[in-house]
Amino acid sequence: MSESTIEVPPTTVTEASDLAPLRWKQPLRSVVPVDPWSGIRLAMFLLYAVLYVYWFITRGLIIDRISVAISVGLFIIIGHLGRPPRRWAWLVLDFICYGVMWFCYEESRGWADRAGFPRQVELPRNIDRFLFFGTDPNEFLQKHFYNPHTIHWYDKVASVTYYTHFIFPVIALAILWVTSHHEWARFMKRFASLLLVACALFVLMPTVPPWMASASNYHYHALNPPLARMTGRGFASLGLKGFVKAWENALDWGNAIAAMPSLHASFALFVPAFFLPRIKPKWLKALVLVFPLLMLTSLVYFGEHYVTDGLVGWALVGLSFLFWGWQERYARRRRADKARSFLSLDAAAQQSHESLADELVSA
Amino acid sequence: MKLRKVLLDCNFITALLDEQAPAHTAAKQLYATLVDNYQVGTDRLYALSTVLRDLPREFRQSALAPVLTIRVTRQYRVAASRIDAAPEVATSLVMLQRERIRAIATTTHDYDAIDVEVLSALDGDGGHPTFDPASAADIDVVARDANESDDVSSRTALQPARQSTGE
Repeated sequence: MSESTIEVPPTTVTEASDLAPLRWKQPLRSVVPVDPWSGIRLAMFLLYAVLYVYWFITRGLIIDRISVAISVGLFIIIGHLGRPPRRWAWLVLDFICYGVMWFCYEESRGWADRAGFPRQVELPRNIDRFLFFGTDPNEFLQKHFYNPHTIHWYDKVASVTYYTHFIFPVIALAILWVTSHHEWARFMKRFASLLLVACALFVLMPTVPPWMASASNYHYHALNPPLARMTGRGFASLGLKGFVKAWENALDWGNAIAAMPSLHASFALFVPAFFLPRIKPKWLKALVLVFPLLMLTSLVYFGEHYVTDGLVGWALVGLSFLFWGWQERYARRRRADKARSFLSLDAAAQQSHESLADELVSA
Repeated sequence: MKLRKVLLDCNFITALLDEQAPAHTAAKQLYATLVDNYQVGTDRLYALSTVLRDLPREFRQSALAPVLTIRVTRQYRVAASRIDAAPEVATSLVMLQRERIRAIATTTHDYDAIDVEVLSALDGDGGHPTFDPASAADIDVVARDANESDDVSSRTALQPARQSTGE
């Protein structure tokens, strides 16, 4: 999207407005009657937040798809309280699309099993070794930073970073759903495309994750010595026992042989990338973009993914944004051209520029 | 990049459509700029369903192709009926507030006293008289008081509404 902004000049300045004294402008909210539902929605959101935090502390993080769908559904229902029936109809339709998307994602595990494409064990490892001059990043990080008897601060940071995968995209989606359907649709197009391509790769190229490739009970022996899988350790040390338990249950549901691409790495880039154009301070932009790097480092450290998996995930995010960005620009240009040709706007704009130039010359 | 939402009000669209309207040329010039901004993604253009439904289909699909529709439903019409202004102005004010739109393209002075960005396409005659929100503010106080009881009918009964938007 172009950064250039075209200023909107006042096309004509009338005599009346020239002579009118400067007036204090009345805020819109003091003119328009208050929406009685806005207070109810706010109170319900606060109650929801309190209950969510209470649930998180006492029972753990909600991460399985059905529970997430229920919690997101409640959030969105609260956001739509008092909205017109048409908005509710859209909501139902949106939710069906959302449900179908996740159903396809979950089903990709079964499709992968049935398709029977060869499992990739050594390919991503070899690419990693090529990228890092013969060193396995997973082994390197665990060798230098992992201590089975001590939980360091970076174990906690990495664990928390890993866990954000289960809430950040969902929170972003839910907030967009409630605040702007247009932006929600923009987000979902990119998100669903990413998931679709990822699922296709899970089926066509089932990739064994590093921890499995190195585990003695799986007999791949692609990495030596076996990698420790200690993703939940940092959380356990923070007193989030319930979360760790729930997380282990969730792993049983997921497709374990689906390392390529890393959706953890993808989502960690996706959410900041979507909101990046709205962030003004450059330091904040830079800070936000550190997050995907932190996520990929955590994934490699925990033996969940190869670096290659993360890079492929980022590439897919980039492709998804490029494609939809191009499509949206094309659609905007097409609609703008329609309007221009119907109203002969180019001539009008030319006339406007000429009159402005005349005024400048006469001044 | 900051995205600006712009509502095209009823008079502005009418001026665009009607080649004989005094503000037609000015409206076209402003719309040309808005369409340029739309194309580069800095402006998003909106119009109310109550305005768009009466337009010729071809005009809607061609001239207003970049414009998104905001559905004006009953609850918004009820809110608009409590504002002491022309129905189309009141509806625009309600939708500006509820949809968090902060700019309006118009050919009148109706929104000059309101804290929104007014993109004016006035002709030489100065347009229509200005909407004075002072009286509307009084009504708002009444509406807020009545809000405690959360009774729509009592609020409308407390302050006679001018008239509905007539959808």
